[in-house]
Amino acid sequence: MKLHPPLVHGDDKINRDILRPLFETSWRWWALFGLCLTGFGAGFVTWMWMLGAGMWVTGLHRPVMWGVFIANFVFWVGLSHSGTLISAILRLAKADWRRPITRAAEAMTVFTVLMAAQFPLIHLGRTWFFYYIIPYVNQREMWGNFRSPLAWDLMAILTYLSGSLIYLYLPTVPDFAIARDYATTPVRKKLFTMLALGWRGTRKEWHRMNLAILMLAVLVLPVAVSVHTIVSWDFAMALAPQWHTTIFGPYFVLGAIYSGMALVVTLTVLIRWAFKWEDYITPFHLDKLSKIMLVAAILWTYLWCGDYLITWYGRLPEEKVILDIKNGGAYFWHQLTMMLANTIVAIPMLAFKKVRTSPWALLFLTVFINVGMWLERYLIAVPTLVQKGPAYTWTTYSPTWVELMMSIYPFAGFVMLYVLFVKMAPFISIWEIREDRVAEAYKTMGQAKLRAIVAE
Amino acid sequence: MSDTYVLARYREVDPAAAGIQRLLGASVKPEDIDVMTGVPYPEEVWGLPESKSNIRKVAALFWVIGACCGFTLAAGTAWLYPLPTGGKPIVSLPTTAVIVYEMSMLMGIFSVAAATLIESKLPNFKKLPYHPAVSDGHVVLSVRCMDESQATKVDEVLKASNADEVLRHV
Repeated sequence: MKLHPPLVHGDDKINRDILRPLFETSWRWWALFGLCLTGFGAGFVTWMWMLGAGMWVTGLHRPVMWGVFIANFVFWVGLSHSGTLISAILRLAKADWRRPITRAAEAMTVFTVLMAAQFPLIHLGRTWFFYYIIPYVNQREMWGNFRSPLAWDLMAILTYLSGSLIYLYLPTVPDFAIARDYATTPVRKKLFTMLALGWRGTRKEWHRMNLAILMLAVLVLPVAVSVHTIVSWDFAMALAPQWHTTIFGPYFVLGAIYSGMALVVTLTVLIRWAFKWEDYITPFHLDKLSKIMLVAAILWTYLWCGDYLITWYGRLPEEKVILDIKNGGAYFWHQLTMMLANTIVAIPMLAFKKVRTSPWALLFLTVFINVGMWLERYLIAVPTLVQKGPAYTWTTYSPTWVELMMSIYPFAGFVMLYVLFVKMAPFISIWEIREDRVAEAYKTMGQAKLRAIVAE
Repeated sequence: MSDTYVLARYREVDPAAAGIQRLLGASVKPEDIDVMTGVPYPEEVWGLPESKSNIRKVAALFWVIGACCGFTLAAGTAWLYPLPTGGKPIVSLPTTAVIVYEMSMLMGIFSVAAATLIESKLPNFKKLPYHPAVSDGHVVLSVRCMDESQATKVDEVLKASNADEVLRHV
């Protein structure tokens, strides 16, 4: 094996390229951070105002008690899905192309879960009663009700958040050590020394780290699947038309993978452009990610059609009225846009390699897919409640500016956390990139010189 | 008297691995030799005894403990304060299974992280032998020596193995 490290410490190209965002702050960073902080702050103030004013300031009313807040919750939990999941799958499959992408994807999971976890609190209206769901014994010696899907939600989201945080932090420790060795100012040196935990890269440390990452990947994978399944059960456990269906578990999981993959691609393209990391994130990586997204799109469409066809064919009166408002009523445009974004436009476009390797085409497409996925969450939550029960209880639902602000809030919060993360940790896993380069070899075969990977 | 460490820095893996063999040939104990690298290499590269770890066993143990905690939380608390409702069982096994599953996974994940840190003796902010060139992809050997005469001998062996730099850490 041949290594080609620099002669002088601190002069390694990979380290310099990837650590640059940690040590250099441009006015663009401040502008973006300021913008996100403003959006996040405005959303937070709106939330606090809503707490004082009451839920009447939203468009929610009986029987439509689940609206944009729940759509946002499901959407943001869904987005969180692919980061850790895809990273874990690719690690277990030893897919070497994953290396430049995993860190950004894992960070995405942590920040999206943090945003999603706030929505049940926002949705409560009287947020201070949230502690009812925390399992502790109250003054009447009664515990929480673990038969409720909401209690499962709490357990699942906390497990997923803890797991994802550990899964993000642990593999970053060796990179924090590199940042520590490259830091020039005392504050940064101290910060990265703390975060690196005294990592030295000894043989035993690496052995345990590799084992831990593998174990975490194995453990986090089923947790990721369980989280979105349990979120789907929030709906499916209710005896409501179009919710009470056995397909919801896998349907939600696939939808989550699809929207999460779309966000991974969006972020990958933007990071590549912002930090000029074309040497690290190549069209090859975009192509691979897009292929996974294509598979997710096809499977999601398959499950959606399966669910739709069975409901349509059964023609149960309770379900038919809801199907009708989606097919030709108040939610026709929502459904059409959703199908255009998630299936009719996405699948044919992703079939072309030119699209799969074009960063800007992918940026447009993935943002469009996530617009479609948000609408899908909205279409799950709202129409069922609008026309549930006897006809005299039917109503409409129009979100107010409060719900709009509370939709901007997680978006701004997510980008703000992501932008802060840029300053805190190497965005691409340096040691994994270097490991790939160390294992890289070229083999001549006929007239071709092919890249090979030396592996155990 | 505190131990003295002799550090040798190499730009390439092969001379570093050869250096280890020379050290072993010079009767240096394998447990006194450590290798620091910027990337994980297969254990066999260095020709040292394989590292052992109990992370798997610890994770399995805590997975079971987590499952028991989940069962206690969901089923045990229902028994503590039984609330009979409409002929339904006090403890519902399918719903208990969800909590058991999540708790077992949570404990499994926490135990993997804790075991990794404890086994690796992290966090450790003491001044241990280290060379920042590790971050640039260099390979650094660290040899623990009991006294000055052994350190001098190790120093000579490492210099003979084409190390780019040999230095002391006290």
